[in-house]
Amino acid sequence: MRTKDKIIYFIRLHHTGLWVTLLGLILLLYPLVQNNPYTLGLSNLVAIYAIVVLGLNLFIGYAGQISLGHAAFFGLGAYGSAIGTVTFGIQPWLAMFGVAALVALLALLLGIPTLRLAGHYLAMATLGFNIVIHRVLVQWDEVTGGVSGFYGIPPLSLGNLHFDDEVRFHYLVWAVALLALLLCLNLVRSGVGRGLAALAGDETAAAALGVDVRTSKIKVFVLSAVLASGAGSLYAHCYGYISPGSFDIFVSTDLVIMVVIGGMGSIWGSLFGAALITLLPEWIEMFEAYKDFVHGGILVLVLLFLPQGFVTGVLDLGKKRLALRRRRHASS
Amino acid sequence: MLLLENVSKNFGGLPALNAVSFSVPAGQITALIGPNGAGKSTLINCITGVLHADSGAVQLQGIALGAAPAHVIARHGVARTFQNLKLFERLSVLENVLSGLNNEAGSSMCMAMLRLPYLRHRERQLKLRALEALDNFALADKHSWPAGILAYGDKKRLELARATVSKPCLLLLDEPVAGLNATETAAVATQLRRLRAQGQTILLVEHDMELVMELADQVVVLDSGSVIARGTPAAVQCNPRVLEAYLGRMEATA
Amino acid sequence: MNSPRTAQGAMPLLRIENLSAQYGAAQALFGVDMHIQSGETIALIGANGAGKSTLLKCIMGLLKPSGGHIYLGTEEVTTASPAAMVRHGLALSPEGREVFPHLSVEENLLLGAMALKLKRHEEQTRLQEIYQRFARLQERRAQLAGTLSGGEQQLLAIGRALMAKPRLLLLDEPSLGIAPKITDEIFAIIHQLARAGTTILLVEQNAARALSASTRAYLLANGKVVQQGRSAELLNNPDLRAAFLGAASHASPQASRLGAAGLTNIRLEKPDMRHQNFMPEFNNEDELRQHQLKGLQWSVRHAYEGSSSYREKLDAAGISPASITSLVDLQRLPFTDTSDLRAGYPFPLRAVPFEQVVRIHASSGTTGKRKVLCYTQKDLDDWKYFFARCYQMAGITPLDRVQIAVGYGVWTAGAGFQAGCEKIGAMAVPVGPGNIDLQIQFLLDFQSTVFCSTASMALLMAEEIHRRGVADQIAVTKIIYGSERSSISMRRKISELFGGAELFDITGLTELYGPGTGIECSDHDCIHYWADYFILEIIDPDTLTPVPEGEWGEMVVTSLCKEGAPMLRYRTRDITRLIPGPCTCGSPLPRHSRIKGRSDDTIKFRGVNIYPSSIDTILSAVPGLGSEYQIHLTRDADSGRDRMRMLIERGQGVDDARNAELIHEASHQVKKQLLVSAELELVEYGTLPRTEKKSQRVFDTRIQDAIV
Repeated sequence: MRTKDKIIYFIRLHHTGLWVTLLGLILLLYPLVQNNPYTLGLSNLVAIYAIVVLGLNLFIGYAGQISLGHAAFFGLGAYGSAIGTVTFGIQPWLAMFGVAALVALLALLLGIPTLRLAGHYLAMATLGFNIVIHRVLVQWDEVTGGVSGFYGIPPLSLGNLHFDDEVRFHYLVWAVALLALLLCLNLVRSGVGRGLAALAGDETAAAALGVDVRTSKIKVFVLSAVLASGAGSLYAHCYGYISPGSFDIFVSTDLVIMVVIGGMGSIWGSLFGAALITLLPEWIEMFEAYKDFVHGGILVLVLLFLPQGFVTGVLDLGKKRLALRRRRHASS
Repeated sequence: MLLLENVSKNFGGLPALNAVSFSVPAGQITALIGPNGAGKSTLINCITGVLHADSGAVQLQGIALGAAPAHVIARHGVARTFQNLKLFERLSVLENVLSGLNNEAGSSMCMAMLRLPYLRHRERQLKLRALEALDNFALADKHSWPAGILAYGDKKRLELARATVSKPCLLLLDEPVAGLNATETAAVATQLRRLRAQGQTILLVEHDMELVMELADQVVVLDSGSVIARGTPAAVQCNPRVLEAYLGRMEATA
Repeated sequence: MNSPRTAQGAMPLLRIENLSAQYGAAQALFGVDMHIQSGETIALIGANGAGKSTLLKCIMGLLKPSGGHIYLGTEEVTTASPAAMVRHGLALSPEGREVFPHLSVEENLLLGAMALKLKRHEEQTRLQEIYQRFARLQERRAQLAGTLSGGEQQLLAIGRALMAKPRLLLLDEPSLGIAPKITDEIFAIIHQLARAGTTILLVEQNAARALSASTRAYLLANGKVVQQGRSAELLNNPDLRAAFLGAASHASPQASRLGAAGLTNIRLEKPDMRHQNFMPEFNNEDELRQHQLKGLQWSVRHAYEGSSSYREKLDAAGISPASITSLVDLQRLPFTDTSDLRAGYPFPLRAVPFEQVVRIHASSGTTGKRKVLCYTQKDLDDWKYFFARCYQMAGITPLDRVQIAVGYGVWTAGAGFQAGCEKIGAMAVPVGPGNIDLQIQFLLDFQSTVFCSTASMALLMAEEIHRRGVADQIAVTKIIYGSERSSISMRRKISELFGGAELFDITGLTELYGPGTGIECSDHDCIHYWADYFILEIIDPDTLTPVPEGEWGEMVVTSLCKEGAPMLRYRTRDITRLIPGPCTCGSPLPRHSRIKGRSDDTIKFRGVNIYPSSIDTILSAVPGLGSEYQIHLTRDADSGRDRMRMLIERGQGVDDARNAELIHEASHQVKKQLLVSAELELVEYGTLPRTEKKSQRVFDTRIQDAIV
């Protein structure tokens, strides 16, 4: 094989890893170019939401299910870490993993009965779950601090290195986001990922091909919950202060909108969706007041014209056009 | 290969299947025919686990399939196509065929996320096998197209490729030539003959009589949920009960 | 506009002209023409998917046609909506009835007239009329429609349609899924309605019913009207029967197999041949060993007394015939090999006087002098006997027709195959090798059931059969091949292209009578050899000592009753291994694995022994690669390093866009299994040469000096 062919093949084979590495390099160098703490703070928030959205996208886009209550897991992760480190004095990293494990268990217990439901019923069940958790966070103020929130969450640290400023946090949180990105990309390209895509396409056909539909749905649900929990923990340690308002049903719908914008089933799209919705208020300041209208409007438009989500929809259209053109060439 | 004994199924009082018994010998093509509403799709669904029979036994190579869920039956080596095509329209042609190899692709989510070398190697092998299957069905040049834009005849062939790529013990085909023109039907017939030459066991549900008579080694005729005839195509063609079921009783009505 | 008149002179109530319809990209109707006179009952019959329901949907306005016109009286209604059609006086009883299950019978009926917005009084009158006609519905007027039986639901659907007092009643498959008795009732109602003057369009799969109930009928197939006419005439039409059940084909492909199996030739059966058994009758291993010991003792004595070259060898090794007292003594005997045969040319190792030699055979050696072996009559009889055993193991009976495409003349192949064939009583077709055209012609004309050749020739034939597309016209169910190694993918390809034939690898060598010393068993996982005619040892080719049971090594054979040229510990240079334990096919005879390669065929590359069969295995494991390959071994003049270059054919029809992945996978396999790294290059299917005899695949140009 000629060397040129070998290089092309190498790129084709490892293109995912190469893109992630490229993104990693850009993020590595980014703080050198832009060290305004406010901007970095925004991009850190994007990273945190991106982690949640990656998991949620697998659930909504790949397993074809619906969750309107993922902010609950996000909140459980945040509060769990907060309470664990402050009230119980557990080491932050340990608390994070411990909380993630507990959330996984909770998701499993929740998932087994609710994932039998479909469509509207599942949406309502997840919504209900979010409302319950939010209520608990508000009412149980002895533990959670109630409406006024929870203060004094210590930053994360690795030995002597404390992640207490935006630049350091940038590296930490984007490292985790890139790792999650890579893992999700791997999952989607694997046989398991194809099984999930099949499940979203047609459950009967997927079952006829050997996909255990019930178990797969539950597994993806738990995975998305764990990712959300991890992101929540990072959120708590980043800001040092959390309040129930950041974990209500409106945040859940925002997360769903991020998934939809990004494209259901598009892993890279999740980054795009998280970024767009988080940065939108910054760019279009006048819409701050009408945030809900704007979000709702975008959602309706996208669902009307590109029901698979924005990025996925555009990519699908592109693929279709390309293939149709090639088909016309082939037949002529 | 497949043995059905006294399989019965009721839909709320309406008997859809009535003590159906027959066997599907290995390496042969068995055709299941019968007028509309005779219960053929119900029977296929009972075999594949989409529905469960109320009574009777279904055995695959001696293993009782019983009340096992559809995906477990699939993992035993039963593959099928659907009357109304159930392709994954948004996935590419290649990915559709790869989903037919789902049982060999590993089921651990954690391992999949880590994408260790042995998994990458397996992916490569599966991809080559899927491409080989596409070669056999003349779809290899379209492997990156989204499945939704294929022509109807190509889609039917794609479903067949997806079902055969895993070399299943039993292949169930639900009306594989419905809606195809004569050329496409002949192509499918050639494919089925080739599969039989490779030792594939096939159970075929069809309405196209010419195809059934020319291809099948054994024909089972179902009418109103019961088996009314069983035998070689030549024998079944002359069976008076079969003629009656299709053409109706030649009585003068009042 | 001038309204067209039909042959009957009156204007048709419904006229359909050149109607076409499609579902997405699939066309369902192709230019259908139809007309219905007032007061007629028209039947529309056809198989599932012929387009009947599509046509009804177009008429009813539920589907927009893509071409053509529909006229109701003088008005064009091609694109009218369903509600408009109802107002025009059409009513539909849909396929599957579609009653509203949660409403009562009466409510369902009332809904039938809803679109007409009748006055209450009129509604009730019509309702009573329906109840008069359908007594059953009156009985169940308050019952929920979903709880009715299928037949009752059908009556309800028709009643509902009649509530609108339609000009044209459309009935879509009223007998579908209904018990025959109720179908009688339904058709009785249809008859009544027809007599009362209602115009009816009846769509049915049950052709007899439909034709008995109608005046005229249209037969639809694949979206086109293929027949039309008076129902009474169509009832007796053979085309109608053919459309539903498929014409009985007198060119049935099964027929030829029946002929070849000789079910018509019972008179010509040779009765005693049927029950001949060529298998040996040893009850246990001890008996076999005793037999072998006797044979060994006899062979050594016979060789010692009859052949001067053997006597010299045995004397030199200090062995006398009397000293052979157990099978272990075999290991004391000196080896014989090709050099002994070449040295003794033209009659090497002859142990009988010339007047007892009735035949000689020679090998197809390509270098140096040929190996010539002589045979006595007993040798020929023994050979014939155990070759018949080979056929028996492959399941060949006197009813088979064996086409022998191996070399005749001085080579052992043709003579062996033919003699064994005649011994077992099958029909021999001794074509000989080559001449593919003639081979195929004979396969077709004689319907040969067994084909015997080398593996390469079998592949050539398989490809030719595929090229001509005659796989379903030939009757070959078994292929017996030998004298050459074959790979799994080659076997698969041959089997498939021959239409699913079973392959049997037959072993043998000229030195040991010829082919037929063993054959692949019916379970296809090993080769059974005839331990009552020769003893098989497996030795290490370097140390010349026997290997532990089951390990790979060189085959060494010792004949037990060969007279003309006995073989004592003859080194065959073939690599194989004994397989211990009983075989799943039930035969008690011992077995060895298929020949892996020759000890002089083994490629030595950078210190690793590579058997060609390992390469075959690797190629079979990568989907998309063909079975033909070449290995070029070169030595780099400057660095002195050996390089291996492999040329592999891609599978048939595989595009070169896949090269990169195939090479990646193949290199991975080569490295994993052979522990060497080679340069791989893929070539187009069919570019590597194929021969009828054995193909040369390894080209070793490393050693430039002549072999001393």
